[in-house]
Amino acid sequence: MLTRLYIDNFLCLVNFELELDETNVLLGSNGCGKTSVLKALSLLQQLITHSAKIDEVMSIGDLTRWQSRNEQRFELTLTINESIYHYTLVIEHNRDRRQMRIIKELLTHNDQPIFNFRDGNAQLYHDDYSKGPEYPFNWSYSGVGALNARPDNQKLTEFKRAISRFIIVSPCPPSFQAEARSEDGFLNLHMENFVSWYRHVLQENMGAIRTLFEELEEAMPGFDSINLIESGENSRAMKIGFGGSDKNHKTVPFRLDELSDGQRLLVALYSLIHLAPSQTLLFLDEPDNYLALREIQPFLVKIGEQCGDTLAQAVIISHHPVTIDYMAGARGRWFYRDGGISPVRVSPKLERVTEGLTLSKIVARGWER
Amino acid sequence: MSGVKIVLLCEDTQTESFVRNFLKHRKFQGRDINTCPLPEGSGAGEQWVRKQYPEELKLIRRRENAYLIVVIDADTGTIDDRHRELEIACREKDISPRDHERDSNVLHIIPRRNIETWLAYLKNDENVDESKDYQSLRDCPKEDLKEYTKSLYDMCHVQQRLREPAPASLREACSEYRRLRRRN
Repeated sequence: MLTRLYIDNFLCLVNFELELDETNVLLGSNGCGKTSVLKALSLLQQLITHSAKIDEVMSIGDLTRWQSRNEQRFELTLTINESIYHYTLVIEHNRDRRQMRIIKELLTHNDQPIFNFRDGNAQLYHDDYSKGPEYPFNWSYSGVGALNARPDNQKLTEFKRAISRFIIVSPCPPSFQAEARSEDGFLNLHMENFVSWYRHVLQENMGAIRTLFEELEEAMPGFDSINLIESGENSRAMKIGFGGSDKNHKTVPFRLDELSDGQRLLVALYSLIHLAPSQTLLFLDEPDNYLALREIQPFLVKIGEQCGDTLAQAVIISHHPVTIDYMAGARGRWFYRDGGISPVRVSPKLERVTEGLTLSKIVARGWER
Repeated sequence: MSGVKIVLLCEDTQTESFVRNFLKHRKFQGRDINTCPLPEGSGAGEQWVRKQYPEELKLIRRRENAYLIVVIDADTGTIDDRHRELEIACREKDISPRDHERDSNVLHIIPRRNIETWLAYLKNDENVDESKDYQSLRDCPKEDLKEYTKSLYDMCHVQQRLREPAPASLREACSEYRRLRRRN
């Protein structure tokens, strides 16, 4: 579980700290930095688990506009099987040359270093914290990301595995593609490749398909099944079968792109909950946008139930009144900014509560401050 | 897809999970239950429930085949105090208080001191003290909560008899629970 995140000099996040629990909802006005948090996490994931080059995932424009400093800092604290991992990454930008490099990367396990990169040199450590080899390393890549799993770096590998289990998405059902030419273990930001991902996770988690179908039967009247049907060379199309209320009715299959946006989203969200690899850390940007009112609370209840079970954690960004009223009281993280060029601050509670009004009504009236 | 069968008005997320887990044994699933907005933060839950209650009572009277389950902690007071306060809250809003016969679809579940007291009992603690605050059970692990609600369901629904000595407030809640009939 990701328990703490610190970001400095990245987009609107300056000296920004966020503490998280098993389930949280991030709230606040437009432009308050909620999505920037997910962007930072996505960037770190690409560096650490996809071995991305730093300038492929960042640009000079990611520096906070109103700051003149050239250093960016990211810190993550993760609790995995009662161990505490602390990860620090410092990036230095050269504004004139529009270049950037990693100047510090440190990973600790229970406060003991297990990887340390500084001034172009990487220091490795064994699992018993004793020093391993030291070697010059490329400033453009994550040194943690470059290391392969070995018998004596299981702690570092465990950390990387946890980062690889981040699923960070901002679902946009109109752009879901109904066909998949290949399997894909990684979901795009807007889940365009949902069907490719489904093809992949289905192989890994066939046992959960029944639970998924039961869930969708409840959510979509008449739902019968999901099938991946051949639709050309190596291509499979996702078809969702619906039957009538009369059991004698034949099931009628619909391609994913023939369903409504809300139905596509239901299929995708419940697939995420039930088919995602065990101990996934789920970060969802406004998943409630396309859902019918009636569907929002059951979805949130299900997310809450699965956290600590199949999911390790769920963090949701939302502006929806149903989500605010259901989750924000106990699990809210309210983002504030005083103006367009001011840093983002976070509080677990609203600054002001108007007695007798629900939280969503307080927010709708702007009476939270 | 039919409408919500149970409207749940309670003080906090742990109570909500407790009730939802318990009701799952009666085959009430996620979409059968709608939880009213939960209060901001902790500490003000009881006041919040009391404030929302009259309106929810009025609304549930307009619905057939739906229940209102109100869970409100007795805290350091008595169960009768809470019943009385709910009654006063209704009168203040010109709404007639719950009538035992007419409002058979309204359940008042009042743990004393709070839901954690029941968790302590379900955890097999002997001689649970209803005036004590079992704070250590405030963030009960989900697995434990499932186990405790299963145990309560077995006693309260299947055997219709609680293990003695049982907290008086839980005994009363079980009797209140019998008003709930599974309707499809």
